[in-house]
Amino acid sequence: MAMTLAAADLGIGSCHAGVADIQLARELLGFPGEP
Amino acid sequence: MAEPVTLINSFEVPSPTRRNSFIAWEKTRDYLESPAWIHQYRPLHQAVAPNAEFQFVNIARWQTAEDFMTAIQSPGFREAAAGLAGYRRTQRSTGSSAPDGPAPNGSALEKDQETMQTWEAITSRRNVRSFDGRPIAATDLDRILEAGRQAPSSQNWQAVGLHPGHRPGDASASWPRCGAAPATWPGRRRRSWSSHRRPITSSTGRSSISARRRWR
Repeated sequence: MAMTLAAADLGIGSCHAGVADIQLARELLGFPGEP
Repeated sequence: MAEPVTLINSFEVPSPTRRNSFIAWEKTRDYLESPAWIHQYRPLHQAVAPNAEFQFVNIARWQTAEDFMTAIQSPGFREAAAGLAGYRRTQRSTGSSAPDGPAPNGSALEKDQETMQTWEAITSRRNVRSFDGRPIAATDLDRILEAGRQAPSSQNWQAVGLHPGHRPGDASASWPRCGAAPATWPGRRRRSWSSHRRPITSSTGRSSISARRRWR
């Protein structure tokens, strides 16, 4: 919430988001897997 | 006897959003004029120079400071002024006895205004789920990420922001206060923190946010 308020203060739209499928989130964001 | 008060709002408005901010200001003005709260509402002034710090300056003269507070605490105002919440502004007030000077620092009115800006930010923020694809300035991203880092969390589980071009291990250089365990922690905890302090980078080059693994 602190980040969305900071974004609003800068005139930047934002929303909260959650991803239940961690593996899918890793693939979409390009994060490396667990070592 | 209560004195009239003049409020001067200076708005920082990014160029691409000037039109929207003007529309938002008109909506706010229309609401404030309708119940005749405002003794005299002067036109919005726009800067001549396109790179001026404050693009819009709004001047309003109120019968009393109490009238002003009553107006901005009304539900109708919050709805009407929601479009202005995203713009940084500086507000100054002057009483009739000192028309050209700012209100003294720490005055009751100034404190109320600061509180109102916080409340306004909380109540007027809206979720946005449609984006136009314009990139966000790095300085703005830094500020947003810093807000996340400053947010309270359970067991100091803080977020780390990584910017395009960062390589694994760069995070501690960019976020030094996140990158080191507090020196006052017991050695076992410091070792545990360090073993879990593995920055996650984005191989796509996009800005990304990830959370450090939890330490125990």
